[in-house]
Amino acid sequence: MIVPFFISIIKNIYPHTNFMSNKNLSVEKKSKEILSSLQNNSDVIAKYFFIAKTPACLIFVDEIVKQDEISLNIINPLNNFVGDKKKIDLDSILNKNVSLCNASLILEDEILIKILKGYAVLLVENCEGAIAFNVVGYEQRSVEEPPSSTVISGPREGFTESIKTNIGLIRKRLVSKKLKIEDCELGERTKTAIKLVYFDDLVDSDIVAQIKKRISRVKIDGVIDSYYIGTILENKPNSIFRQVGNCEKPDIACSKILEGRVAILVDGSPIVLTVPFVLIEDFQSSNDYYSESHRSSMLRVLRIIALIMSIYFPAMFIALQLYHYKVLPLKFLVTIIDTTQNLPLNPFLEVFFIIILFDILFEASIRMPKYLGIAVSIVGALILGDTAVKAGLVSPPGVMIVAMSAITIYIIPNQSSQISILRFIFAFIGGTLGFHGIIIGSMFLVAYLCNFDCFGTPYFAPYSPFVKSDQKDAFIKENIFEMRNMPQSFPNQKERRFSIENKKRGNKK
Amino acid sequence: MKKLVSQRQLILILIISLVALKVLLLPSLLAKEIGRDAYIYVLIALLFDFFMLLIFLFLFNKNPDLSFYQILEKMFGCMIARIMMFALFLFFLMKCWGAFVTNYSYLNENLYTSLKWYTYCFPILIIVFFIARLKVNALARLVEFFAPIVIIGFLVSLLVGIRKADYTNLLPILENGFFGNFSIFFKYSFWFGDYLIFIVFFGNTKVEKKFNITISTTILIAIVLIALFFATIFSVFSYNSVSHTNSISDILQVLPSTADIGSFDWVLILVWDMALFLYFAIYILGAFYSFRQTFGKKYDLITTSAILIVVLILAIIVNFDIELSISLAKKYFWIFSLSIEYGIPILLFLFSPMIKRRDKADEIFMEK
Repeated sequence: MIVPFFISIIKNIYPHTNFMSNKNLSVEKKSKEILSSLQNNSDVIAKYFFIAKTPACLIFVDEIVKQDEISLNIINPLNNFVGDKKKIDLDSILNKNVSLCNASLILEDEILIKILKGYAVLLVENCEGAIAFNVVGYEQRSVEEPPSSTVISGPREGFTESIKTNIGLIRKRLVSKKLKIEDCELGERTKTAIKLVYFDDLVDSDIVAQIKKRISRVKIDGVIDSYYIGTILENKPNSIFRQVGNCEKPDIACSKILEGRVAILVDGSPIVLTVPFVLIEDFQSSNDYYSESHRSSMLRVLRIIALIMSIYFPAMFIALQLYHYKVLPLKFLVTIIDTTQNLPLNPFLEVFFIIILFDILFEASIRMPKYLGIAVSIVGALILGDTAVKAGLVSPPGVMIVAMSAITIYIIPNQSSQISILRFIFAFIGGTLGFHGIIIGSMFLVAYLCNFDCFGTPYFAPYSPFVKSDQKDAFIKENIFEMRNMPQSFPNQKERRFSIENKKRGNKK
Repeated sequence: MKKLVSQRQLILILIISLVALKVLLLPSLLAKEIGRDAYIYVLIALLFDFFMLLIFLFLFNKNPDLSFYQILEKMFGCMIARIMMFALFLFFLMKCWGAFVTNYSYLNENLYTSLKWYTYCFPILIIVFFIARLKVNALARLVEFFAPIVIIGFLVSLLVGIRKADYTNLLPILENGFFGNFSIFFKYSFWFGDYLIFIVFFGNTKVEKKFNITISTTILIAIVLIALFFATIFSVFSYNSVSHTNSISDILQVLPSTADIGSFDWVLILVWDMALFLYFAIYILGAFYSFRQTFGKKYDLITTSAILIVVLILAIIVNFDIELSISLAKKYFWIFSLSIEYGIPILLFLFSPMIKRRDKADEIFMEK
């Protein structure tokens, strides 16, 4: 008990001293120990050579480094060592002989992690510690337009799986000394790098502290995608509703950072998370900010109509037929009776049958190879749908209602999974309880969401609670010059975003 | 940090509790007993309610951080405060029962050919149970979300009526004298006193700029609109007002010139289903709040369940019969509701200087 205690005290005083290591360990022994720790895997390369007659060894993982850079910038300069050849130490190698700027001295216990992260680690005889050269060279995707966030006008760059590239894309847009990037790491086996990006003078410090706290309290074996972090950050992780925003484009991420939110980048994921999150964000598209405000407002209203249609249309169709046919206008009622009178299934089962059929086709078209996917959609939409109607299994209004509901789901892509679940639930409620059920179901849904409070932000803000200043960028979007205030729906430090001096009308600031 | 209810949310809650129940059956009932002048009595009763609300606002402004129970406790001591809270609990429970039965009858008449009582009851009770267990500010957000839809529905109905109303049908005014119908009108006290729900939000509401003026002006406008709605109903349907038991949707349904909108009157029926549900949820919260203040904060879960079961039992006892419920309310509850509605605020107003005296006495005691 006492010895480790003293060691920890001394370690705090002399952090670069490794007291447990054997300083006289030869390079060969050290490297063999490292290789055996790495399971003697064939892709881990240990290259032995001499630096002015002193044995040295460079260890790296073959597949994840740039080989050219190793030979050009590490081995070649070391073969022509400059300096005191009798007394070779790591400092002289680092400062006088290597042209790579991404190199640093590391402790013995950091060696394994650095090798696994794609660094080349140099061990030198009788030298404690090592030098880690950043020669990371993964195969990675180029910066492309993300498929789910295509725009007609505006930037087309999208995030990639490389955190370095993603930080670069943000840095390119936010040229400010106040931009803060904090590093964390999560995953015992993946050691996934996580970066929190925010403006120190804009963001509420409690939010950053909460994010760090929630990430640090998790012990997980691996983090493969940002979705894992999103789940960790959510107050109610079992809910079908997401409580963390996400985006695939640097322009969107930057605009959210500028509003006083925190962007969370996870290595290996092109999805950047943003907190705090409010539901209205999913109704906003990046295109809205690069087009005329009237047009954007109209599109946002359309998105709300689409949301209502996708959730309620099948439920209302069932409820109208089963319980409330007398409230239908006569002409409409006659049309429905004409088409549904000889059907073997009742409206409830009919709609469920079509919804399930559609969802199966959708899943199949995603999973199948692209050329087959097109064939499946033709078979599904044209042949199956048409034949089912002709065979008298389903009615044309039923197919039309479900098709409309299915198409409208994808107008708000970020909410599609939630909407498709809600569509099922409401169709069930409509079939069992009718309109009254749909109304109280909606009440329950809204009450449930009103109770959400993610990072001090009400889910339905700026509508419920009503935040007047944020109405300018809610369902109705005003001109960018009218949005002078920072969002008030969630906590942040600043009130004003910008001011215009010497404005002609009334010299308002 | 305590999450407070905003001024806007409070206003919307008060408006929903003012409007939801009054515009369904009441016009027809009053037309039957009082005749076409009933709107004047409604206006007077609502103005009385408004003055009582002003007393509550006065108390609230004096003690913005105190809950209603704490105010009562400071004025009258613990025992009387609890008795008063229990009386309020019974009043809210009565309102819940009224809303519950009215909503059933409204849906049964307008939307369903035969709505089974259990199909109506169980989903609504489960969801109200969930809502009643929410924090006050979450309920306020729920009301804030749906109230604009309800208000738009009410205004559309009113505007459609105004377009076709012949207000000369209301003349001559007060043919039978003013005081002749007052005693009958008192028996309808059950439908009023909705401002009392304000007690739940004492100590829970954020005092914003021009708080008093905004609340009183908005409520006054709502009162005038409700009275105008009554006047419109009586002028549109004239002698047939008695038969229009669901006035809010009847305006759209019955008028020949609004046939196109009339075929979609089910939208308004749904909106009013929403309003009645909100009303029910608000009063369940009120009942839950006052019960908790009376008997302490233990057994929250049991309390909520018990309140809902009592409402259900009351509804089953009257067999979901709205006529029977009304006759019971008129026979047995009117004195009780009248005394709660006007007795408590007047008593509070008269005893309000007591708070200061008690505070001073406490200060002296602490100094000693």
